[in-house]
Amino acid sequence: MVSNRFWFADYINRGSHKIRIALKYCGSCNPEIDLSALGAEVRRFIARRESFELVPHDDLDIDILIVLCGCQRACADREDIKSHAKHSLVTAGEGLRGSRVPYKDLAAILAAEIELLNSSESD
Amino acid sequence: MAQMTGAQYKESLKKLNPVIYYLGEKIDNVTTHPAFIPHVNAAALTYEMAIAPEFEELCSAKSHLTGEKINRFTHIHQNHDDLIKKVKMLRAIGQQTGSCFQRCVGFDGMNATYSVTYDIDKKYGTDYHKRFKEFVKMIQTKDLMPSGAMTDPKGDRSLSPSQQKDPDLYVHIVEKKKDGIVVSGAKAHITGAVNSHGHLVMPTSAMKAEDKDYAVCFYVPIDAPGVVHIFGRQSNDTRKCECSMDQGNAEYGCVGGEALIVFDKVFVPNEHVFICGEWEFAFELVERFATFHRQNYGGCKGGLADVLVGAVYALTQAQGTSKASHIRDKIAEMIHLTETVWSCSIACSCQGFAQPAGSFQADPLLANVTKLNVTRNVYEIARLAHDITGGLLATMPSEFDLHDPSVGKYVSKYMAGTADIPVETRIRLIRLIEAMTCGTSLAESMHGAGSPQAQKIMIERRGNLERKKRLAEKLAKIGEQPFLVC
Repeated sequence: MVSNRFWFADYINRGSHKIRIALKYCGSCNPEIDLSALGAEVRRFIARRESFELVPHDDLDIDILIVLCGCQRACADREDIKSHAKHSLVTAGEGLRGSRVPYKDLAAILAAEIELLNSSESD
Repeated sequence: MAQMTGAQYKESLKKLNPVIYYLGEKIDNVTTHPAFIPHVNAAALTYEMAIAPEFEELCSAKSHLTGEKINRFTHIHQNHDDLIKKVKMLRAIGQQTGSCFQRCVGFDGMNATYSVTYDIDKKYGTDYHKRFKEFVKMIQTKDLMPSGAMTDPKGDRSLSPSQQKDPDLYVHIVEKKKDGIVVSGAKAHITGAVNSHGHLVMPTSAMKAEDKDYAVCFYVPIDAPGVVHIFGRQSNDTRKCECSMDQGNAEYGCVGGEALIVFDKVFVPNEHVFICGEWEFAFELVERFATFHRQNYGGCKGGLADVLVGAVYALTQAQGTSKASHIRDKIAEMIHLTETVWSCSIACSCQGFAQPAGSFQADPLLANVTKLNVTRNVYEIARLAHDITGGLLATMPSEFDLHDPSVGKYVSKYMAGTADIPVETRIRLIRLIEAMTCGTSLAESMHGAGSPQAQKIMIERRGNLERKKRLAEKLAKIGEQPFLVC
């Protein structure tokens, strides 16, 4: 995985004005949370921002991959999935980065995490 | 020394001086007293199988703390493979002992405490997890067997710990000192307690702020001053002292050998205190421990059921019923019930997940389903075994009469089955079936790792009923619905 510093350099050099963000679902066999609604809310957040672009999760040039998993098993938290992205954020039921996050706050926390990644690269 | 042999384990017990009472008598040495020998033998096998080439792949592991090869019963699960190997190990050992081998309780307690202490430290900046890792290293390095002591006597169940008339009905802190704490209370039904090296004591239920003195987790050596063990009775326990064949499973006995452990103002040094008043984490510890322990039961009981099915199958050959279609059907049903609980244990292991501490936890919903199925399936397996065995299970003359110079010839004559199988074979098989299915053994499947209602509560809590309702509403076209419900 490319380090954050080099990632932003790549992004600038590429001449693009958009951060390429992808969504990947675990497969939704028996989710503990409403993954569709969560995904829709994240997509709306991305669409609201001019500098963000939603791209397919199998794209080979992803800046931030959001992996939405319905339970703590986090089946899609796999290197072969995440290796296409420079950064990844993985939810696991009501959890993110090993911490418990209530479902009602997950979309907002994800948005904040995306903003954080974006701003840290812009500094 | 990273791993002990069974013989070394027995020797290590002889060096301890625990206070143990049984039938009103103080017991000096559990390794030589017939009431305890089968339980010691079963625990010793967990040591032997970890170094046996045939079983070491399951029964040993590599420590993530020291990098050394260790007995799996001292391991902290690091991935799904560890969770799966755990239940495979339990089935493999259960097949050899036909009885409880006790060591899983402390194993599960260590795994639960490992992740919970990490979470407490993260919230409060305490150093419980660091202490606990040092404790785990000590257990792994010395290959010790801690019991897992969770269940308090509870007194009046309608009252919380701090509301009990007698405060000792739940283990609690009676004094905090600079270098440790003093605790009093008791833990009931503790498996393997008298032949463990020490006790990992955990809270038994969710706590409130007023119960904070009861939110305590610690380890004490089995012979710490103030620790008293009172060993429980089992059905047919006097057979252990008076005969061999009639025990059914003389080598390993039945169930785990449970005891009441009393803590009478026991001092615990700070390095072995892992929760001290953080009441809001009591539920987490209970739930994680319960998940680990309920995960087990399709493994160990699956192994025991393998032995039972084998005994019943052999008995049908000894009784001339093996070809009867209804007998074959019942044996097939016993296998089906066995493999069902096994499937549950495998499933909750495969669906496990990483905790923030980095250790792995089985799936709580499926682990509870596993244990609830065990409370039913094991009874049904036993019922079928009784059906096939026949009434002799309850009426057979003793081994003393079989060997009596006057009546032995009659016992041999009238207990005979098919001509080509010795009568003693038939008697031994029936005694084994009796030991595995009558009396104390069945109650263990019901209440070990928690009673059925405890599992129902967890299943309901984690059943995600609202999502199921949305799935139904979509197909019933109730209100405006999405194309796919996720």
